[in-house]
Amino acid sequence: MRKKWIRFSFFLALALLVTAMAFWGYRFAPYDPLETDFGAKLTPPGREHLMGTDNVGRDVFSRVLWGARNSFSLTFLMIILVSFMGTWIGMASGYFGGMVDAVLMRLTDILLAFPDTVFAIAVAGLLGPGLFNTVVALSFVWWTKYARLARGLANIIKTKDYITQARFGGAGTMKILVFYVLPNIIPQAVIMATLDVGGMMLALAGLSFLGLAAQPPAPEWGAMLYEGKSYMQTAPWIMIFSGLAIFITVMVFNLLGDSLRDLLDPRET
Amino acid sequence: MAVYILKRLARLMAVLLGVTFLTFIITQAAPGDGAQMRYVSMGMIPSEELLEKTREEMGLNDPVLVQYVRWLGNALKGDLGESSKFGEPVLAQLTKKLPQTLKLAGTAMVAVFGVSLPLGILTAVKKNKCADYFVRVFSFLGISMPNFWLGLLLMYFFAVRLKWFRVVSANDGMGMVLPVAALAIPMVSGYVRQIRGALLEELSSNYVAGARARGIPERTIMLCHVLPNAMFSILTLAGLSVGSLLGGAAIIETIFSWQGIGNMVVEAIRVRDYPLIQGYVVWMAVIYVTVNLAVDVICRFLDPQTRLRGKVD
Repeated sequence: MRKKWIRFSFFLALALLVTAMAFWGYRFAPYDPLETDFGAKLTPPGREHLMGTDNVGRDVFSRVLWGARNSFSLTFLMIILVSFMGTWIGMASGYFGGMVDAVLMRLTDILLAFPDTVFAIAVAGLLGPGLFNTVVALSFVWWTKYARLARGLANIIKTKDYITQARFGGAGTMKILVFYVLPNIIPQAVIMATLDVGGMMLALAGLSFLGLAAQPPAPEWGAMLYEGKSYMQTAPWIMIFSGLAIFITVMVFNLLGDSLRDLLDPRET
Repeated sequence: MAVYILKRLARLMAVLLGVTFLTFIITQAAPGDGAQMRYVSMGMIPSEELLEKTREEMGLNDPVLVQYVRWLGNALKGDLGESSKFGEPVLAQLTKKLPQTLKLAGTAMVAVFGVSLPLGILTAVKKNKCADYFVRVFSFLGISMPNFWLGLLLMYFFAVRLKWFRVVSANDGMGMVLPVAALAIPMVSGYVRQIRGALLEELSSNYVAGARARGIPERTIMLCHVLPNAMFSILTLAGLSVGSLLGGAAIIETIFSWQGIGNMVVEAIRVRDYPLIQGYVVWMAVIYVTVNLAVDVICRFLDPQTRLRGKVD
């Protein structure tokens, strides 16, 4: 148990460090991420440009730092959005049951019975490229997981004695949901959300990479990879460093999610 | 058994109806309509009257539900509309590109299980030994690796630097190596962990202890008892993986210019070729849902336990 705590604390610290770097790191960016300098285009990594420059002479290091901010805020925003949405929908569905429940569960059946990347690509494609549409597309396919989880838990919780007691005590439906049901769902939802950070970041970067999410010239890791792809032969550093940034971040959050699950889930994995 | 299959088929139909209806609704919400697209693809800017007339002709002014039923009726007859980009029926486009994607995804699938099954067994047998840790660390790296980045890296090292492969793949056997690797490696990493978990769970059950007590060799226990029992969860895993394979293929195909359905849909998205995107979604849904139904039926057919449970239900 102690070992698990240590592991979890270590990865939590690491994740916080990465997050802090993402949100404040751009202050240390040596160049403007959008400033072009054709005299220095496609410069290999060196003392002047730590990670080289891209096809229009923008500093890759500065763009990776700024991109972190965009990628992170978008990922966290999405996770908060889908977990909030899914948890509430699922909780209401499980608690009230009946028609609402039946309709909602058929809807999640449909969405879960479908490969989510394909659907996200299709939805983003149908709505047209753009950040907002990507957010819509991903939330559309992602909330179902949380809804399923919350519904299952709410179904169990609503039969508990303390809910009946609360009702006798005069608590209204809203109060019961917020003060008695929700707190019992949150821990599980948090584990799921932590495990989801990496996946969400990959999904967002993937859509950006296809040119569907963040639009150039905005610095965003997936979009940078997309731009770097065309210059792979002459300037591989563009795609190497932006990909590395995604890779490291996703790994840190995967490790954090894993250690958190180990800590809270007694089953041995 | 027959009742079960019928039940599942009914559910499959419901899911397909739902998916097509959802995509239909989304297409309605999308900017620009069919009438506009038709003229834009012909390279002209239509007047408002002409647009209105075309809309009336194409039935775009009818209620959404009417349009959907009409679309569905056509789709059942095999008419998914006409692709504005390629200027030919969507179905023809799809059937032309689909075999390439299936080839890629199928090979990747074989590679995934060919590699992850032995590795999963190895890690389960050597639990907490050196080999186990080694494979687990690698699988962790693989899971966190974006497949598009892996694709680019593979391309850079093996095609650009070492020149072992052509940068633009030739859609042949040799050109398939890198895309398959890019698709398979992240999935192998995930599956090794899952297979290891499934095997470990089986290994901790009573019948294994019994077999050990009777002095049956570990190898026999693993190959003749544990593996067949764990096979059901592994098969289910394979069915679900079809989804990530098809999704991943879209990204990997664009990197390696593989002329498959994923590459096609990304192109279609760029030029807003709605009928083609819609057709793609429908086909993907059909493939995914059918494969998973097949897996479920096979598992049920092979597994006496679920068969009996089905009778009790």
